[in-house]
This record gives sequence, C-alpha cells and structure tokens, in this order.
Amino acid sequence: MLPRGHLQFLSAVSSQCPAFADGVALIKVWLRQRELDQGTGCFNGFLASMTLAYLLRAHRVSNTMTAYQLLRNSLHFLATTDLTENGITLAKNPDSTAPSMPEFQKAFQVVFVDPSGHLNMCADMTACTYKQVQHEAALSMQFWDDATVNGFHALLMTPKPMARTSDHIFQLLELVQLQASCKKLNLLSELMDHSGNYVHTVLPYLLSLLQQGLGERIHLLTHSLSPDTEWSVEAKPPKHKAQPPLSFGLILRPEYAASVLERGPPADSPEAAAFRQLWGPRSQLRRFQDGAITEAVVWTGESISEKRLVPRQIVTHLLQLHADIPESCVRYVGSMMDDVINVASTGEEQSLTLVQSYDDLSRKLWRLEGLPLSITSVQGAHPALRYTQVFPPEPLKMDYSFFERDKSSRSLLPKKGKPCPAYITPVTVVCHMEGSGKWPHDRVAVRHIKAAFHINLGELLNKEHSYTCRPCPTHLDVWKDGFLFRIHVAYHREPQLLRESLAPDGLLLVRDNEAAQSLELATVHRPLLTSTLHGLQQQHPCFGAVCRLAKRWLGAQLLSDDIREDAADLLVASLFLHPAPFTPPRLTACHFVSRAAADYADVRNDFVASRDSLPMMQRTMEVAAQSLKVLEPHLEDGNQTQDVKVVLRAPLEAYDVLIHLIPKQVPLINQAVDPPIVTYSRGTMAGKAGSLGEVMPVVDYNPVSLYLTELRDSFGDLALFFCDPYGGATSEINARRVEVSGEQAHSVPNVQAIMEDFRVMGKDLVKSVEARTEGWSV
Amino acid sequence: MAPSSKKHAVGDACIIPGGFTVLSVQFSADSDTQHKLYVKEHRVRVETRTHRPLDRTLFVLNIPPYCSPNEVGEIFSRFGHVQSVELRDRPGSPPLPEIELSNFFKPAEKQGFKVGYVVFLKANSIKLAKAHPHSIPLLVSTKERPVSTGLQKWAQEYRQSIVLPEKLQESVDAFMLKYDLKKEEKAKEQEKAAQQQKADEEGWVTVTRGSKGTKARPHSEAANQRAIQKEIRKKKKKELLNFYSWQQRNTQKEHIADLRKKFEEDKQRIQLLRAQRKFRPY
Repeated sequence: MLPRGHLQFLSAVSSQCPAFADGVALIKVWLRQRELDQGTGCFNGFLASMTLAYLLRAHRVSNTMTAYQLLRNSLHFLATTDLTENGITLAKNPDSTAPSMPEFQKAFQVVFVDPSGHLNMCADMTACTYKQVQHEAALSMQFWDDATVNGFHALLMTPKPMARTSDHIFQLLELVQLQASCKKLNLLSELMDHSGNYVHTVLPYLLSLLQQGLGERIHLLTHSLSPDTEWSVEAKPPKHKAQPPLSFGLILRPEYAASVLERGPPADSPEAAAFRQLWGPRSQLRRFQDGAITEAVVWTGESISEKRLVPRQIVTHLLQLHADIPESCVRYVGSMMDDVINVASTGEEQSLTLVQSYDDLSRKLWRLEGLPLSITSVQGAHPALRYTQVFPPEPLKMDYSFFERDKSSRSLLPKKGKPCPAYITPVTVVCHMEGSGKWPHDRVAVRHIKAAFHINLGELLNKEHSYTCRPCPTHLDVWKDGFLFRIHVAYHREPQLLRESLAPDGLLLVRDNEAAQSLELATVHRPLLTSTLHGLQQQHPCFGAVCRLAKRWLGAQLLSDDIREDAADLLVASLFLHPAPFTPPRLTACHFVSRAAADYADVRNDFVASRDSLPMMQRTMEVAAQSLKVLEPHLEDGNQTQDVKVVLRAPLEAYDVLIHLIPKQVPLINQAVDPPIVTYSRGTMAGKAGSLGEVMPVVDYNPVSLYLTELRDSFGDLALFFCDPYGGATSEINARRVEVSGEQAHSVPNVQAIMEDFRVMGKDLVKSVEARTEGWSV
Repeated sequence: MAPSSKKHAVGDACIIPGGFTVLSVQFSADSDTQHKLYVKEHRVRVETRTHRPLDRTLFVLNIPPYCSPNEVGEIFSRFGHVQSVELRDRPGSPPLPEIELSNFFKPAEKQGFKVGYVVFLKANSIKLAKAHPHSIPLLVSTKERPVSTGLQKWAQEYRQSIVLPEKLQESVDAFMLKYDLKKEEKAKEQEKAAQQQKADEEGWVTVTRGSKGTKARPHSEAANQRAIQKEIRKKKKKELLNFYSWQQRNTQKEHIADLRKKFEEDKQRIQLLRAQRKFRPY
C-alpha cells in the first residue's frame, strides 16, 4: 500500500517541478561522497527526494527553481533543522487513527512522517547519523560561500570516507559481545522489536552512553552503517555476527579533548549520583583549589601525545563498565604513526623546552648593554622554534672523555676511532642590528663588521651570563641549557648592497642575484614564516605533529631534497587553513598523513605547471597516492599483515647505485624507521644539562651530510643523490645517463673510476658501494 | 671522463683532439681504476696577471675532488720544481678583490672536479709533463705523504673551522683599517676632481682627458633612464605634426575611424550589460 502511495506522491511532486529529478540527483551525489547513503539507517536517496518534496510542499522552495538552487536550499534546510528535536511530517490531514507528533518523537530518535501519517521514514536512523548529516550540510554551506575554495570540487567531487573525516576512530571487533551487552543493559524487549538483531538494538544505547561520557570533548560522534545484507533464497540468512566490525568516528574539540580531568557536580547535589553511576569506580571525590568538593574522574596522561589518547581511555572504560565489552574488542586508531616521530620521547615537550630556552636567550640579548649598535629584533628562524622539526633537539650533556680537547679554544673535537658523536642541531636565530650611517657601503666590509658583532656579542654573553660562545665569521654559536643556538647578525640593507654593482663607467646597476635572494630568505622571510607558523600552532595544537609526520614521510621517501622543509611546512599549513571539504585536523592521528598525502596531490596539481622540477613532483604525487592506498585499509581493518611503517620504507629498486654506510658513523641512526639493534655511545651523559661554563661540544658535525655535499659538488652533473635525512644508512644514486656527443670526441662517464671515488671520498664511512648495473647503457 | 679515442701504444704520450695530453692518475698504488688528467700549456691571448707566466704554466683539466693544491704540486713535482698551483672551478681568472681577504672571509670553495694552473720554475718541465707516457699512472696518495679523505678529512676540517676570537678580531681590524684608508683615498680623489672642475681665480677651468675623475658619484640606472626619456620628449615637442595638409587629412581620418570603432565597442558592451540584467535570486 504505502510504497505505491509514496511513488504516486513523488511523481506528482516531480511533475510540477521540472528540476526536481536533477536536484535529487545532486543531493544523492553529495550523500554518496560522504558515505551517508548506504546501509541500515542511512539517509538514502528516497529520504532525499522526500525531503525535497517536503520543502516544495511547505513552499520553502518554489517549483521554478533550478537544480542548483534546490540543492542549496535543501542543504540549508538540513543544516538548520534538527529532526531529532522537532520532527516534520508530510501528512496534510492525517486520519484520527494516526499517532500524534509527540508520540512519534517519544518512540523514535529522528522523526520524518510520510504522507499517510502512519510511517516514520527515519525509524532506523540514529540521532548520531542525523547529526552527521547536519554537520556535513553546515560545513558544505560554509565553504560554498568561500570565494577562495573551489566549491564545486569540494562539494560534489571529493570523496570523504570516515577515515579521513574523523580525528579518532575506533572499532568494535567481535560483535558477538554485543549480545552480552544487550543483557547487561536490559534491552530484551527492544531486542524483540529488532527481531533479534542485537547490533541494531544496542547501537543507540551505546551511542548515547558515549555521547554522555565524552560530553564536551567531542564535536560529533559518528558511526559506520552496517550494510543491508542480501542472501540467496536457498541459503540461510547470514548471522548477525558476520557483519563487518562497527566503526565509530570522533571529531574532537581541541580545547577540551585532551584534558585529563573530568569535573563532575558537587558531591551533595542530586546529579552526583548520576555521575557516579556513569563513571563507576573511576569517580572520586576531590577537593579543588577553589574550595569546591566535587565528584571527578582523573585520567592518566603525562605527555601531550598521551593526553591526546584520553578519549580512548574514556571509551574503553565506559564500554567495559556499562556494556561488558572487553578492552580487547576495541581497536582504537589514533596514534598508529606516532611512534615514528617519537623516538626517545614525544618531541612536543622538547620543542616546548627549547622554545622556553630560546625565549630566555632572546630576553637576555635584548637586555645586553655595551653594544655599539642596539638590537632591533631577535627572531627565531628554525623549524624547531615553530614546533615542526621532525626530531626536535634534546638538551645534551657531554661526556668529555669521549672527545679530544682543544685547550686554546676550549672546545671538543671528534676523536679518532670512536663512533661519530651525537649530532647537535644548531638552532638558527636571526638578530637584526639597528641601521646607522656607520655601516659601510660595501658588501665585504659589511661581512667583516658582522663578524666583529659576533665577537662582541659572544664576549658580552660570556661575561654577563657565562654562556659558552664561539664566534665565527658567519655566525655566533651559543651553548645554552644543552642546546646550541646559532645567532646570525643581520643588517637590513645587506641584500640591497648585494644587488648593487658598479659598472666600469661608474653606472650603478641594480640586479637581482642568487646571493641576495638567499640572504633575504634567511634573514627576512624565514623568521617571518617561523613566527607565522608558530601562531598557527597556537591555534591548532596538532599542527606541529602533522608537519613532523609529513616531513618524516617526505624524508623517508627520499623526497626531502626536492620539497624543502619550509615548503613542506607551508603545504601542511595550507591544509589547515583551507581544509574544505574536511574540518581542520583537531588532534593528530595517522590518517592525517594520508589526508595530507591526498591533499599534497591536489596542491601539487597547481604547482606542477610552474615548477621546473616536474619529474620529481610527479613522483611525489604518485608516491603519495600509493601511500594513501596502503594506509587507508590499515585504518579500517585491523587484520592487515603489514605494519604501518611500510609507507616509510622507500623502494630501492629504482636506483642505479646504493652506497651502504657504516652505522657507527651515522649520528642520526637511532631516528631511522627501522633502527639497528646495536646502539653506540655518542658521547652523551645522563643528567641535567646546561650547567654554566661548559666546554663547547662538537656541533653541527654530520659526516653523512658532509659526504652528500661532497658527492653532489663532484658528480652533481652526472647523477642525482638521495638520502633519508632522518637516520638513513644508505644513500641512493640515480645516475642520469649523460651522453655528450661532440664533433669528434664522444665522452661517457668513467663509471668504474667514479665508483672508486665514492669509496675514497667516504673513507671510514662507506661500508660498500653496490652497483646495479643490469639496466645500464653506458 | 674517459675519452673513447683510439688506443695508443704503451709508453707513448696520448694526445686527444684539442691539443690536450692525457695523463692517468690513480688514488693510491692499490686502487684499480684511474682518472684522466688533460694537460696543455697555458695559452691565452692577453694574460693580465703576472702569476701565470705563459711559458711556464701548465693548464690541467679534470683534477679529482680529493686533491688539494699541495697534492697537485706533489704530483707534478716529478717533472720539475713547482712554483705555485692554483685550482679553480672553471677556467679563467676571477676579478681580484680590492683588498686582500684573510682566510676566514674567503668564499667557500666548491668541492668537485677542478681545473688547475701549475706554474713550474723551468719551462722545459712542461715538455716533460706532456711527454709523460699514458700508461704510467701518477699517484695521489703514497705511503710517504698519505692523503686524508672521508672521516679523517672531515674531522680535520672541523678542527680548522674553529676560529679563535682574537685572531678573527685581528683580521677584521686589519681589513677595516685598509678599507678606511681606501675610502679616504677615494674621497680625496673625488674632491680633487671636483676642485679641477671649478674655475680658478682667473676664471680658467682645467679640462683633462679621461672620464674617471669627472663623475663625482656613481649615477644610477634609473637616473639614466629618466634622462633618456626626457630627451625623447624634447624631440617630440620639436616635431611638426600637422604641418602639411596631407598630415592634417590623415589625422582627421584616423580620428573618425577611432570614433567609429569606439561606438561599435560601446554598442556591444551595452548589449552585454542588458543580457546580464535578468532577474536572478542567487
């Protein structure tokens, strides 16, 4: 009866409105891209057409509107109307036997009554699903009006699976367990309503439980829709437990999500009992600093990355307590990739201590007295100062017996026969000096004056704060709190000076050149970028972590020489500022790498046209797409055989020569994706770093990078060299095949001699040089 | 890079097109591959520098990256006493800096294959070098004077990169002293030139040859550009445009054509505006 009625109703509506069919199709595409139109309790195409029919009936849209307008209006309607609170009905004058609206509202979570007045078409839908639809619609409306985003692409063309949408995901693996939860939650009568389908019975209760427990921490709770099962007539219907695991997605609020304290009502208020009932034994009475004594739950979490997983503790605790679902059945995906950027510790705290130390240094620099010119600005220009260094430097204390000592300059030197000392990253700080007529108008003289400033600054810092300083012609190294700061004095007119040159006839020429550009980049643009991205980090707490993951991935894929650190940071920043159609990532999770990867591909499409390193870009896009393909199943399915790190292992087949290095002499080997079992002493000691009056350690000494520069200088025109900057123990070489045909001479690279050179130039560092000569044509 | 030219008999000097003689060089006695050095006497049309005498200088191509000037000197000392060695990234001579720079401030050199100028004490050493048989390789690193590469070299470089503040200060002071002197000299010269331009008591101006002294300060490109523009404008003003009757006729014709064209364009624009003025709620 009813289906025919619906059909007649819809055809009547569509015959009046010419664009009806197109409008419905558009809404269906929109739903399909968001995975909302499949499975039990979904917002399917039928509901979409009924919604549009409702809007036409209610004169919210007119019959003459175009499909575009219909889509826009329906999204607006979905975004603003909450069917979980106020249901809508299509019935004009329902007969007396039909139930009233409040009755519907009582029995179902989402109410949308059909023309007959007897059927709720959204009966299966959970409130969470509807909320998700609302959220998506609101988001779509937002970026539709944004002129800077390609609205069409974001609205209808970009697929938005759950793994890329939510911040955290968890799955319930063994659905049989839900049977037990039915009993625990006293849902036997509801079980009968659902004809024994315990998954559907329990789901709304689980959702409301989690919603209650997570409360302010989350923006939205979503869940996957179980598919409508089909089976042949002869076979038995499939068991409920054969369904794929249920996935839940959380979109978090960054302000609250990571707090370790859940503060409840005062102990004597009537709500306290409910609070205790919800949290069970975890609820404690606590007295707070403001004097209030309230119920509270405290979760464990020391570091920032542990705190990010507080929602996980809440979820497992609640499921265990109220639904009898053991922790082993919950597969929580939130920090799968974290361990690749957290070697010794999480890195975020280190960045914080570094930034504090830097702030202290900058304050002290400002206060220095006795400089010939005053300091006009002190700016950080290093990724670690914007929280995006993959492995931020740690405070180190040196073991003097490990080094040779140079008495005259009070510094340590690498000792022969020992493993390479720990790599100390110099943290660049740019210090602008006041302009004055006394600055010479000559580039060489400016360089000398800058050197004099370095000496002067170093003396003052040593005298007033007794930091160990070492001036060099180009910079001043300051060893402070176990960190090394490298201060560059800058003069704002120097780039201009570099551009000027005097022609022989006395004409002043102004020509842009590379030296001026790189100086400008180092002293003007990079500090600016650092402070801007620092601001972004304050706005989005997980920006740094996403950046670090992205750069780690680039490094591991040996692409970091083509996409420099600054470029990578900017790409990730663009991801945060133009997230459409997604929401900006709230808390890091591995899927952001994948999302980043996907978006990299997008962003790069624009870049490709203008870049000269086209092949590298294409390769990056390809690798990104493949990595995404590998990662996504990991998020959705726990039974993957490979581990996640597989996206960080670059294939070595494509390279012509592999140079294997001796791990002992690679200072960053511990940061490798697969670190070796053996660890080497690198001349560091446990204990508090940063006592005053220390000797200058060995800084910025990395044989691998020295070797690479030497190779690139010598053979850069013949071959491309690749190496993972984060603990790579092999360098790869892709020989560009060169054939120069002159008039008579025909020159080919002297491959044998060059390979010998690789060995000679990297003596004591190179283990072996492996040539893969099969495909060579020299 | 190895030439794929014809093989030569053992013991012969190998000469390739371009007049270069090929010498083979290998890193140490036990290495089994060789690099080729290409040598030739240094010959340019005008040699302004005195430190590369034309008859005693050997021009060497393709010097491997691990050879420093000292080592190159050692290698070539078998042909005769070497006076000086100069290694560069590319052939030619760069402009000399006005003031001699100390070691700290010299621009960093690229490592890689280089070209070299080896100056011998005697002219006949060049002949010896060019006659050296191709089959007997020269050795870079021998037991008596080992060449450090790899880790050892980097450690050494690190050691050398440490600068004592006093020494640095000294070199900065020395440079600045020279710089100030030079500046003063220049200022004096300019003043002198300006003096000369002025008329003396009797109203005489001394006119000298050469443009060096005449410009009191460097003039800029933009100023030059402006002066040229000014000239052009002046010239245009002088030109008579509507002098002959045919000129007048032509201008009138052009004016009318312009008006017509503009009228057509306006018509099209108005049509477009009209088409766009339809009612649309969104």
